[in-house]
Amino acid sequence: MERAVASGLTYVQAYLSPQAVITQGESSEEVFFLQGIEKKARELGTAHIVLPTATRDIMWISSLDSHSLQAWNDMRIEILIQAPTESSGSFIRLIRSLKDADYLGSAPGLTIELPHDVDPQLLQFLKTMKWPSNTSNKVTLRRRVRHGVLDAAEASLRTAEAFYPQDPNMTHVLMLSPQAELSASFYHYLKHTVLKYKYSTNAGQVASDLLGISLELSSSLPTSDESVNFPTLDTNRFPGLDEREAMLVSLGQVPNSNAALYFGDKWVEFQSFLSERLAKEVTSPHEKVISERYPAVMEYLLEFMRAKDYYLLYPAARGTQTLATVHSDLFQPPEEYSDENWAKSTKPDNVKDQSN
Amino acid sequence: MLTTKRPFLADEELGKKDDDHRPQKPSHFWRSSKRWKLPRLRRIILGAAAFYMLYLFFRNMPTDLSPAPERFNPTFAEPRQRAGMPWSPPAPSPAIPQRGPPPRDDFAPEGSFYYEGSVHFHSLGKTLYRFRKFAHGLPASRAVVFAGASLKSISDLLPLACKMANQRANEVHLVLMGRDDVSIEGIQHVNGIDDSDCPIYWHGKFQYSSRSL
Repeated sequence: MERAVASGLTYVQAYLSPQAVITQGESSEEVFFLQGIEKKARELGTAHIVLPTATRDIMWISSLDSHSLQAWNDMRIEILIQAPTESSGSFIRLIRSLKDADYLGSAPGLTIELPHDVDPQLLQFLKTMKWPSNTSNKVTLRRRVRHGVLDAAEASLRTAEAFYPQDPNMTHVLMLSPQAELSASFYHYLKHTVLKYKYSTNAGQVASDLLGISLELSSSLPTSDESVNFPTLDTNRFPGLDEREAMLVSLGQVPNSNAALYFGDKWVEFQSFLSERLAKEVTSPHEKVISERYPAVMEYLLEFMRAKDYYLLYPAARGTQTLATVHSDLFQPPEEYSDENWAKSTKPDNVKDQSN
Repeated sequence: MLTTKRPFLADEELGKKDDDHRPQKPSHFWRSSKRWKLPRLRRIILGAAAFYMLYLFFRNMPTDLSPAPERFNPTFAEPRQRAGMPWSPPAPSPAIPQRGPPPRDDFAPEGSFYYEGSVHFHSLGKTLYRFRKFAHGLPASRAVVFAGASLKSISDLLPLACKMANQRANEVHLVLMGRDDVSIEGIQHVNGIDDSDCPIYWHGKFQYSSRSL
């Protein structure tokens, strides 16, 4: 019977040459059928999508076109978090929200960048942390050896170097700040948006101009000076954006470090941009646009977006569903901008963290 | 006398000595034995060879071949090669757990496994044939195939397939590969859909699949 299923798929492939074959998972499907389809689809190079849950929870798949569905299995997301110095409360809150999220059967990899002065409670938490993944090596921990505070350029380089895509077209990085907390369905939104705007047939111009996808639309711009003008909502430029979407989106030429996914190919471009940019740094000191409440890499990301005319896809302000919440109660400024004054003002927060 | 007679006698019988005195019996015996022995030897050898070939034939007789017309289908070249091997029905690979085939399968002839492939070709091909132009006509196919074996998963897949078909972005096909004996119309009726509100292309239903392992 398994062989019959496999030969059946051969005929389906010969006549229809489908971009994707969609089946249910093992919970409600015959084993001989799944095995036959799985083996043959791999042989024929057709994408085999095994639905992780009942279809009523993932009806958004219906709005994806066949090319998007083809990339379903190949698309990878790596989560990158930079843990704060001597603090753990907000970080643990973020990790807990990540663990509770639904990853559609394939949990993304998690990379945590630890500072030199790690909070012992955080290390204890990481020791017992269970990441929702079948493979054991999906969590990567890195701790900075060098003591002391980094400057803006070093901190940016460290962020840029923390990720390199295995396949630039398929592997993307989700940058999260410890202040963020994600909703359980954030991965559904992310997968849907990436597949729709990166891989669909008519993505065309949108895909090539899109730097990434933000999960959060902050109420204020991340600038130090409010008078700076951003081409934030530039939806007219891309008439291809679907207005029937349940979740409305908009485009903005503003980087985001709280919760945003950056595409692998653009990240590679950003790395080469950064290396050239930092080489010229000595001769041309730049004026700072982004507020010091955000990591230094934001400044370079903004320059990169302006130079290449790239945009981030933001969830529309009208959207009722919140994908990511950014808490300000345990706020800690980025290490590169934390001078003595900042350190003093955040001291009570740190104390409160450790009591959590 | 004797001495005189002897030469005479000897002379007298000189001409036909060999013919008359030659012992006839041994000569006959030898001749007949020669005439008889040769065929017998050959017969024994031929008989042994025939017996051995019969033995070989019965020993290697393929017991699980499908009827001759079906064996000409090249798709079955592989199963035919494997016919000599002892067949362990429900577990082609040890990874497949025993899923408890229907009880009637236990009594089905072994050959029934080979039946369904060919039937499968006909029934699936009937509906697939209409789409042959798409394989070469369009530069890139827009086809998305939903496939299911169990009725439970098919009824779960249907709303998604219908919704996708109604978006008109993809060409949605649904292929039935189960062993349940339910027609396409039956599935449509049970799930409360028809071709007008759910424009998907239906394919499938193996015949004899309910009998196979």
